[in-house]
Amino acid sequence: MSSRDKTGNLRQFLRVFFGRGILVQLSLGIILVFVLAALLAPVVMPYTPFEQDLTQLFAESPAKHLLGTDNIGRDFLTRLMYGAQISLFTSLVSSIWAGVVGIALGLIAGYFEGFISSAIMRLMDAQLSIPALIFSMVLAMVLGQSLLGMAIVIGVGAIPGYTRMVYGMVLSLKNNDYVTAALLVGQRESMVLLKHLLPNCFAPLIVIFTMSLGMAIMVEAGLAYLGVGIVAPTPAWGVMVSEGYKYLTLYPRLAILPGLCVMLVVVAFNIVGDGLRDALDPRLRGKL
Amino acid sequence: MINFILKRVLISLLVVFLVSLFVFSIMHVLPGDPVRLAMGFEATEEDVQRVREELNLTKPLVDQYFLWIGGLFRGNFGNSIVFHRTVADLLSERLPRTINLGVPAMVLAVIVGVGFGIISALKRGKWMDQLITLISTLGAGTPQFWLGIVCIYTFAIGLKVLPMQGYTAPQTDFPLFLQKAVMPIFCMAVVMFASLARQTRSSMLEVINQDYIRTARAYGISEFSLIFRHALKNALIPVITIIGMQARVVIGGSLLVEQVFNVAGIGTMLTSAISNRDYFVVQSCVLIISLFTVAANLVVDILYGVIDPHIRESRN
Repeated sequence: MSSRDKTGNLRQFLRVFFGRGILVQLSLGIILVFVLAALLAPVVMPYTPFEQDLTQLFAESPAKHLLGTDNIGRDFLTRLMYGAQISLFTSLVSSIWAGVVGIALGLIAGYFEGFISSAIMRLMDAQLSIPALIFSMVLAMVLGQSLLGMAIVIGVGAIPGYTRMVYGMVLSLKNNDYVTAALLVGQRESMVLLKHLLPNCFAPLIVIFTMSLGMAIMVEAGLAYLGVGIVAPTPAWGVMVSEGYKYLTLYPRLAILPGLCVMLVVVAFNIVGDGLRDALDPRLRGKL
Repeated sequence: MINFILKRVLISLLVVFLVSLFVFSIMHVLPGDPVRLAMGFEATEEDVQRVREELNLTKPLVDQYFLWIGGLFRGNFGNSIVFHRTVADLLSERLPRTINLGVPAMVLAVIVGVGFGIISALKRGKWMDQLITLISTLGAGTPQFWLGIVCIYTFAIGLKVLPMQGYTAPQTDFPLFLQKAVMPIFCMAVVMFASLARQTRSSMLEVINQDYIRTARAYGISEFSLIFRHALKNALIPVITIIGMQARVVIGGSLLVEQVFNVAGIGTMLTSAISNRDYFVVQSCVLIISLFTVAANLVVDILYGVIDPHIRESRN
């Protein structure tokens, strides 16, 4: 492919991606705001998420604390920003690790027929027959409730999505002439898988990756809300909703704002994912 | 045909077997002693040991696994370590609550989701389509527990038109059941609605652009019968797969929704059972859920095979 074709493709991609209207741009903006909030939290905020000011319980004056304080006098905005750090970190780590494992399993299952292939795919079926939240809860008991532990647990839940997709792609691609040709000229099977089959899965993979970022944040928040994920006093959004729920009547912001953050980020990732799907490969519309 | 069905059944059994191995080994690998946890630290070592023996927890793991599976076949799901009751007893008490919220939620989601999906596809690109797409995107991204809390804040605390939490059986007091159930049902339905509306829209679009629909239209068949008699039948095939998978969405959602609305159903029971390592409750419940999902998928799969020889061929 010449470099002119490449820039042409890129321009075409950007045109379709941003041409989907204000929602995609708004979503990218939301993601950017949360990423900045997560990165800048330690720099711009004068408080730590754990620091208590016992003279300022449930403070609501924006003078000292922009969004007030919580039930034990911690700065609420600071906690929300650190919450973004936790959510984005777990979702990124879990999606990357799920992607690596899921893609590898999908390539193997798709390329090698017979026992290995069906063993892998039946394992995926088994996992998909248990609700994601229950699966992660059980696994979280083993791997612990640390940040990294949660990321791994949530990632395991996302593996079947990648595996099934790559499996399907490889099955439909592997009988193409170019694969046969590559094998005939003596390329190793592992090279054929990585150099010829994997790049064809690129477009749907990007989409699944974006979507799984949102899904991971959702599962992380749900587990934290139930008290079986990341636990207090870590300022995960789910933990904050569950703590704030007790004071819903008088101080609704404590429960409602962290949940709103979850929703904004998840919806933003989903909309960007949809946009990417249409821009990268219109044939995938409605299939992912 | 018999071959096809037999193969699907065998594969399904294998999947359920894998789930049973997974949940059994995970629960028993965990550190910590559930019997000690349940009986408290004042209980003597002899008493704790006696209960362990009663529950067969002192036997080798392989024996425990087969005792558990063997029990399942005789309708014995084991005993709850925490509640001192049989799992079957607990289930018969709690399952109706989850079903009474989950089934109406599913019915609501299917009707509204499929309906909106069809409207969306027929009005493609118009404001109606965009609105429905926006609603389902928002619905798919809203955490259920948060939606529940927002509902409680709006309708119970703010407008004071609905009770905050709790559950009343419909046979005890039906109007009260409705009042208490409307918010949890809504929260559970929203998530299912989103995926159903999206799937219906895209498969409907795929079908109405096909040649046979254009031909039918050229023959002068009315638009109504075109959509409902010809297009919908084919468009609904992938939608039915999604409906078949909703059982796990109902149960998964019940974990969060029951917690928010303080309903003593399967969801809240599982949450506490997992944290307390209540082996038999977790093992048996997870297995039942997975059995249910696998069975639903199996039925859908076999029905496809019966309806459509292409699918039978490709999966054989």
